[in-house]
Amino acid sequence: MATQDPGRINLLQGTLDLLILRTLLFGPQHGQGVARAIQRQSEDVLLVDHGTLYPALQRLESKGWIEAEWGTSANNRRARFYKITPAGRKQLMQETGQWRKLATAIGRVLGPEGG
Amino acid sequence: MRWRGRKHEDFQAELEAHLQLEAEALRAEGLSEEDARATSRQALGNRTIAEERFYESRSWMPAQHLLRDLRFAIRTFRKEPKFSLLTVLGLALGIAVSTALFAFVSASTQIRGFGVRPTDDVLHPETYVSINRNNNVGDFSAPELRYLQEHSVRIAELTAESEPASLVLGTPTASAEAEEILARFESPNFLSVRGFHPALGDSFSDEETRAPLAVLSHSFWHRRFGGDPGVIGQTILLNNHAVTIIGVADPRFHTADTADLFLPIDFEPLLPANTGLMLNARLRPGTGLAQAQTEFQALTASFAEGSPGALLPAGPPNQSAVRVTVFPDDVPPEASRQRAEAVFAIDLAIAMILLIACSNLASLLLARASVRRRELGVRLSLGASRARLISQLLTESLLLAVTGGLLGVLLSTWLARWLLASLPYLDRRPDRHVLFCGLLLSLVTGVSFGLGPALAVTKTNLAQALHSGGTAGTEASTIKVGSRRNLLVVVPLALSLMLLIGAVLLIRAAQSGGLRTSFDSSHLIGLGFRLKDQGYDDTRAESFREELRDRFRVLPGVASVAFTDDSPLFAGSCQIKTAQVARSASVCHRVSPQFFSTVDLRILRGRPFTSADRAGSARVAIVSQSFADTFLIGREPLGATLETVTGSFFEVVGVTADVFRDSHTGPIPGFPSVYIPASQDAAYVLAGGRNLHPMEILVRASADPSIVAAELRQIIRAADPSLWVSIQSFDDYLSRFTNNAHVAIFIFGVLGALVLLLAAAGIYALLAYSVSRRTREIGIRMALGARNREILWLIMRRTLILIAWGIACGLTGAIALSRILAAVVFKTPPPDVPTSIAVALVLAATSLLASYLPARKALRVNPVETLHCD
Repeated sequence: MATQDPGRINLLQGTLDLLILRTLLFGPQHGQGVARAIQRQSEDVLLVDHGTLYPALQRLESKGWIEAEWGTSANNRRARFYKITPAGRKQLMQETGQWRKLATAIGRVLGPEGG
Repeated sequence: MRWRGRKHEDFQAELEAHLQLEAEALRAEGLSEEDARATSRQALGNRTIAEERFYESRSWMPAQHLLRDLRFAIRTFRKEPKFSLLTVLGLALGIAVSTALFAFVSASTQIRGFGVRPTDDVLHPETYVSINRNNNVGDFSAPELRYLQEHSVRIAELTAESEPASLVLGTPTASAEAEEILARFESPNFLSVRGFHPALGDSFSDEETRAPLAVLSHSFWHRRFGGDPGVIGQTILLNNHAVTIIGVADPRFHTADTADLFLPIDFEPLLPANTGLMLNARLRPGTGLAQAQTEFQALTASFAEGSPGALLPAGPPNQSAVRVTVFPDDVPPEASRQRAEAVFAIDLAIAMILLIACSNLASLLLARASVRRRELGVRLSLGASRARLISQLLTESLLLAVTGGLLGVLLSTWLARWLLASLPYLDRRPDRHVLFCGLLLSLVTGVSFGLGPALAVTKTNLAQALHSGGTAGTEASTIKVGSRRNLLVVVPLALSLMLLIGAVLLIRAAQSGGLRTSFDSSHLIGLGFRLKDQGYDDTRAESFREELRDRFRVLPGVASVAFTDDSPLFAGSCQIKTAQVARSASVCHRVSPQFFSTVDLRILRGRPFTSADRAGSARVAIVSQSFADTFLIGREPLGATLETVTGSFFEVVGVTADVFRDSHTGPIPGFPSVYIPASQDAAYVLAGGRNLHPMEILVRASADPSIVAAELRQIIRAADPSLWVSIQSFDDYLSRFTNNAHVAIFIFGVLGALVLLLAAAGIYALLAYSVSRRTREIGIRMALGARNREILWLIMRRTLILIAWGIACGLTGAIALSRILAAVVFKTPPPDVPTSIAVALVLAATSLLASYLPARKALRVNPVETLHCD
């Protein structure tokens, strides 16, 4: 398993799918790229276990939310590129909304920071 | 979707690409070549797990698991051929017999089961009823039928038929042998009233009630004409009258009936005088039985008042006593109750066999599973989930069950054909429902009886399973006969004993015919003719018989030839008046002088008839011992005078032995019989000129009766090839009584053997199980110096007790069964000691063998190995 850095948070169950879809919204990307993007965008707070990434990609692909195709990366390497499908977009919209609601609700329950 | 077809290699390539991309990115961030590679690998985590997850995420995983399980199961079964064979065969037999019985039951319940015609009106179905008067079904006349048809408002349709009449069937060309057949005279609507159609050709039209036409029954069409469609339009001879075949009846019509063909209801040349008609009716929708009955009663009463007596040739003697009752369908309530009971009994038997077969499968599986406890423990500890193990075990039991089921269904079609062949009137087409039922049974068996052991075994304590190779052998030293596992042995054993003894009893009853004659019945042959029906007048018939007698007499295999008006075993009754008894119910025979020597009926006192006793000489008679005892009480029989209803007197000149000695159930009352010389105008003096039985010929053979019978038949065919003749040894005559016993014998025998097999399998499984569990204990005992004999005793003691219990229960059951059989079905003797002992010995030997085989394994236990093992 990955190292436990106190500044980093392991992903909640189910949130990885959401993040992958969100990342792919900006364009096709390969697995490593997706992992890096998530880490970068969360300013290195979110830790993506590369080992769990691929089963998640597999799952999304089987649900028809993403599509995959072999292609060439920026530095000329063969890689499998994932692309979000219309169904995936719809799913993302839905889940994003739900997530926001949940986050707000939990925030309210927990109260102001440091309180 | 594309991902479905994604290969494992593709996924590996993707992971490889990921590692390289990550390493490159890390290098760009300034890590060294080596560190970059290591870190990227670390970040990916356990690659095997990732690959495995990918593997399992594929949708055809279950199918692949199943394939693997199947392959594994087949491998395991190959390693244990004895076990697999035993299980599959046991189950196959269980399913075969129960499916065949089910087919048998379903076919028999279809007999006359078509009481209701399909109708649109679901709420008020049309009822098909039979009408009787004074509990007498064949009691209506043709004019009465017409009157009812015209005046009734409750019936939609009324149909009439006669009792079956026996006729001689010949063919114009005499190409086939003449045959005695049964015909019913039917009203034109006899098929359509129940919604049936002719299977071939036409039925009678309303105008053809007198025409010389015939409709064949479906079974007769097959039996006599081989199902040839060209039979329509052919002419056949019935009692020397030419009749044209116009159709073949629906196969479902009168399936339980003995009638071979149907004739128009008013076809007078063949219609026996004074034939009563049976009435059946289809009621209008919504008509209740009570309403119908009221109407029928009123109509028959008004018919009796309004009709001139001339229209009532066979009218009931007392019109005021007429009562019409109606009951559903044409199966008398008594018969349908008996049928329901029989069906219930067979169903019970089916359920029991299946239960035994299934529980045996379960115990075999359990025994085997516990042997594999260690293997399962290892697999569990290596990370196999319990669900996977259970599905593996279930796959194995299902494989066994389905193999057994398929085999069983195959066997059952053959068995069912055999069973149904004994009931020629049944439709014998294989029933898809039955086959389906058999397969379903095996599937249910596999799941329900494989699940228990699978659950039990996988719920194992890992440490314990691995540690001691099964729980320590603390088999209870006290033996509880009532435990479930022991019942699996005791119950089948007892059942099997009961059934086998029952089968032996039935076979013996059938062999002896239940009745024993006082003469040798095997070498006595009776020949019956229908000369009058085939156009012979009395003079020609008599000279023909005499000609035959003279030819028979000179045959080398024939000892003597005699005439009688009927078989010595059965004859029409007559009233004889003696000094003591005004009306004696007795049996009268007209016989030729050679009768007593031919039948070998001893003359106890007085003299036999001689050629001097002829027309014109003093009238003489010989009476049987039972006649003398019953009707000539306290009188010297010789010289006593008998008087017939016609007022003729006879002098008793001899006393003869009774025909029947006894039956298997004990002594039987003799038939009081009177023998009168055929030459002394006996026909006239006995019955006052009424029709009497035609004469038959009796032949006492001195050689093989079947060879002699063939010679006799040849002589008759040479004399007149168109004649119908029945040639039968008296043994065959007697066996008629128990003819239908062979189905029961078969069922009992097969069931008995099957249940014995199942019992043996149960014993085998039980012992194999216990030996495997007690290996350690046996090892210790051997190490401490126990001898083979002691080990065997240790292992088999419990089984011996169970076998003893099974036999004791079985013998008790057999006595009860024989009582039931004797009371209900056949004349069976009570179980005698030798039979019971013989069957019990067979059973004991089989079960001992079944217990010895696994026990022998215990002797091969190597004490050192066993003790080292853990």
